[in-house]
Amino acid sequence: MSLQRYLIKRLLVMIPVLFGVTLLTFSLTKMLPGSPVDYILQFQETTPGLRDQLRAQFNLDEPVYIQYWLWLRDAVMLDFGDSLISDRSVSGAILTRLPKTLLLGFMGFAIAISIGIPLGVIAAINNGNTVDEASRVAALIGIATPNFWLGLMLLLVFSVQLGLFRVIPPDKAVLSPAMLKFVILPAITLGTASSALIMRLTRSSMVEELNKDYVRTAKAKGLSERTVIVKHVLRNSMVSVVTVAAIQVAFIVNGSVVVEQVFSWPGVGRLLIDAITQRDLPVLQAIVLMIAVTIVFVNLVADLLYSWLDPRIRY
Amino acid sequence: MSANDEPLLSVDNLQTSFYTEEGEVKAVNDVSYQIDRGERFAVVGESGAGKSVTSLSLMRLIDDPGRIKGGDVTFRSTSAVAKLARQFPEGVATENRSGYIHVDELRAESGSVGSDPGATVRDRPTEVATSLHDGSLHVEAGHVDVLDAPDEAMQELRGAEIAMIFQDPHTALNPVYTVGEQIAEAVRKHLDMGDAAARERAIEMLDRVGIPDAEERYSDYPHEFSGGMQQRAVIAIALSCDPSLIVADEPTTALDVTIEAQILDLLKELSDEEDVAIQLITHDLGVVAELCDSVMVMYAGKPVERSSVEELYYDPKHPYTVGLMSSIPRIGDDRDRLDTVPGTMPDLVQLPSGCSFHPRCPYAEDACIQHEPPLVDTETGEPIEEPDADIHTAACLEYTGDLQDGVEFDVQIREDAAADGGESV
Amino acid sequence: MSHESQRTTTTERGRIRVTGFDTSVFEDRDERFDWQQDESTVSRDRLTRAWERFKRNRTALVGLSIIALMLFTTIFARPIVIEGITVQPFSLAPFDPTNSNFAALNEAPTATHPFGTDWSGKDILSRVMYGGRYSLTIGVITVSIALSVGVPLGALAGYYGGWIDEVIMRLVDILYAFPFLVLAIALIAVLGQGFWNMITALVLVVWISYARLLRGEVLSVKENEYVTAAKALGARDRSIIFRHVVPNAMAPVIVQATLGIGTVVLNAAALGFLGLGLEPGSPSGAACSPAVAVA
Ligand code: SF4
Repeated sequence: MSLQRYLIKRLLVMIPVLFGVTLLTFSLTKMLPGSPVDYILQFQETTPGLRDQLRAQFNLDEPVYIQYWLWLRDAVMLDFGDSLISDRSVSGAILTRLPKTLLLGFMGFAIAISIGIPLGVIAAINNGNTVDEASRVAALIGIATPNFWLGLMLLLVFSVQLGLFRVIPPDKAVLSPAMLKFVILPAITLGTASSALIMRLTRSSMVEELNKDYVRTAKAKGLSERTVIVKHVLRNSMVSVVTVAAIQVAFIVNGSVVVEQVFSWPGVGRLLIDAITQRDLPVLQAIVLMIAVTIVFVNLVADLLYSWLDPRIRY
Repeated sequence: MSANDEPLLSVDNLQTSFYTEEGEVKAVNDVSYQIDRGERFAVVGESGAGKSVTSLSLMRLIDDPGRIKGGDVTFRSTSAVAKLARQFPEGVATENRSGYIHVDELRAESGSVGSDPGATVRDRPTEVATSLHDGSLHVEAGHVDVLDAPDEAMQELRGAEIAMIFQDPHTALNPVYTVGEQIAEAVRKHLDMGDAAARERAIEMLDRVGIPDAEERYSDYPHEFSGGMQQRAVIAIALSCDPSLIVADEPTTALDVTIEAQILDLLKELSDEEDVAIQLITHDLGVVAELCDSVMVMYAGKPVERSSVEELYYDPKHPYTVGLMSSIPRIGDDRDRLDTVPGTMPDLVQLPSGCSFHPRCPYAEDACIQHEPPLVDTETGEPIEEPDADIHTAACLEYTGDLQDGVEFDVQIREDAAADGGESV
Repeated sequence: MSHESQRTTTTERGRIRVTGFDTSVFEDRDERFDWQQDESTVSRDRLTRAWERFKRNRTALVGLSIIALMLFTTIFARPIVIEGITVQPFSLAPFDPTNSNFAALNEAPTATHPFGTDWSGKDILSRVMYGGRYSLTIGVITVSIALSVGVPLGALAGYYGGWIDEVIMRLVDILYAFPFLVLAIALIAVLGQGFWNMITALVLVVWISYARLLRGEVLSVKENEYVTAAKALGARDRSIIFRHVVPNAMAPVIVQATLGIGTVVLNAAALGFLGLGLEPGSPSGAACSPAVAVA
């Protein structure tokens, strides 16, 4: 069966998932105590007319399924209305912050991959000896360290004690080379746990692959150790590493919520926390939906990559 | 003495152990044998007898926690010697230096070696290498000490001079590369060919091992091949660089019976036509009969019987061999049940005292518990100095005259339906 | 004997028959011929051997001792009283973790307060020791509940396939699209803060990975012959699933669940850090107790 048909099938499966995702996002935020109208009315003189007017503005006078439909229709057009707090459009607010979160996320991911995979390979080749054990302990510590704690420690050591980095970025900072300097510590914080996970997975799948018969065939052909490892073993391990690397995207999003808080990084994660504490419903809905949809697509890409990497998988 | 009279491969007192938590597992315990050019040699035994470890040892493919403890593996191939001497002149043994590449006889095209007409070639390995390279010298005889060769030299030998075929073709091929690429890869490495030429060669090889539409099948992945075709592809890899020895480790065990016959036919045909020697490892004496010239039976890491295939079939000497033979199912068998060899191979960490086979040997006597039988000439009872395919040897106290009751069994050769002829030992 | 010319005969099976290899002698043979292995290497049972192997694994040993230490300090940090009866009278924590000492706010570590005090003058060491209780119980309870949701659903999806599988797996896919923290944050925002609310939120995001993992395992286990055999014998689906399939598919789920306790504790801590953890006032020292995942 061709890749094309698989792609079509895979895309069809996404329809109910995306539908469910929007429904869940909508109903979760619906269930939040306190409606936006109550929130606005906190600060204003209440007149009966105003309340009705506001209810109409937020479509609250419609039945719930109509509300959902209207919200969904607008969401598809990326129109999430205005923030309750800042009076800016939600899309605008997210868009100004998105590049910063993307920068942080990509850096964190890059760190995770570029440390995790080589370390995993080294540990696997040294299977069982001190190098292996040391890297496994390191990975264990990496996984067990809470990222907010690691972030605080890095802040403490590198900026407070050593004064090496100015860590709190200016709130209006744009995506620029200057930002690179600010991004280093948060990216390390973000990437540490992921790199440890990737390292462990690379190691275990390499160890598994190293014991397979084709490795012996490759050696019996007279290929050098290096060629056997890189061309044959690593290539096979990547099949499973890629899948987990995709899951790491969700993990990174997770982490960025916390890390942005620690480092006062002006990204979407902080916006999310602010939206929750301030009950800024439209913003909350938009961010949650955006994250979920992204992850659905990342998983799609991972699946495609997976079937491309492993020729045995053809649906 | 011409080099071609000497065996292609001599294994002498090979010892390989695995160091595990339970102790030292002596997987190969003092094994010697030799294989002539173009000969088909079988190593037979149950699993755990040390057959595979023997083969992997001579390929130097023993991984941790295994280690080759001792012995010699001498590989007498002029092409291997020439190739290695050219690439690793520092490894050539001379009168005042030891090395793993031994150039015994050279034929010089121009009549001299290097710049000094009077110098013996053995003094000047580097110049020999240059002269080999420019074609003014040819190696006529020589050998490689396989166990002393460094890893880089081993990589030149593997695949190019000694190739291997594995038990399970399904797992022996890398799932993520095309079958063609896996052949071409070896060709590029050993035959100095570019991509296009290597591809041509790979297709040729696929065709040679009987894969139809070789050109199209080149870009198939292993999972798109059937089991038999996969094994043919593995054979194509082994054959691709013109080796002089192919080690086939249970090449048909994972295949069904009809495919097994085809693969055995193919191996036989290839070894005849390409003049390549085969070391066949198997637990199946039936396979041995179909393919091989001589045979070594192993039990618990040691050889227990060695002879030509005919001798072994018509006149087995060691009780273990007898046990193995009586367990081969036969067409028209009129026995009530098959006599298999009862019991299992002992733990190689702690071998039984005396003859390792005694717990499973129906002829065992007290002497067998106390004395370990040496491998002796079954005619004379004398220990043999060197492995010799013409001498029938076995390691059983029967042949040193230490048994009181002796070993008794009958070999019946059935000419027709009726059984006649038989002998008692 | 002449068999020089008989090369061809050997290639035909069935020509030679060997008799006299009489295996019946073993039945009444003297036992001095039986070779016995040294007892020390073989006759140990599985648990002992597993323990031997475990002892040799340094990482595992270190992990185990850390867990033991944590369990010890959290259990003995403060007395445990159940319905008026003191079950555990010891109190290792130097101070009451809930007691504020307004004379010592935000103190740096001293001899009296080795970890210092927090903004309300509570002893941090005591809070860490006591807070471990929350961390560990949250981890264990969450994972147990998540298992009891994820395992049946995963087993059903894997065993029956078809629309049951589709529905369950799409649900899993949907939840999978929400990162752990994002979903937990949203849920806590809806449910409000508190011990059980936190656990509910965590369970909702944790069970999906167990269901996914178990489904995959079940898919391969159900192909096994013993399952076919059980079916052929007319066993009911329920007993096949829970007696034959699930026990054989659980191994990776159990490994995942063990590691999951650590992840849950970390996430609970992160929620705490974001101000969405337990109600203010409870020793959220939980937030800082190290989570150790044993490899
Ligand atoms: S030496 Fe004794 S135990 Fe060993 S094979 Fe011969 S008869 Fe059997």
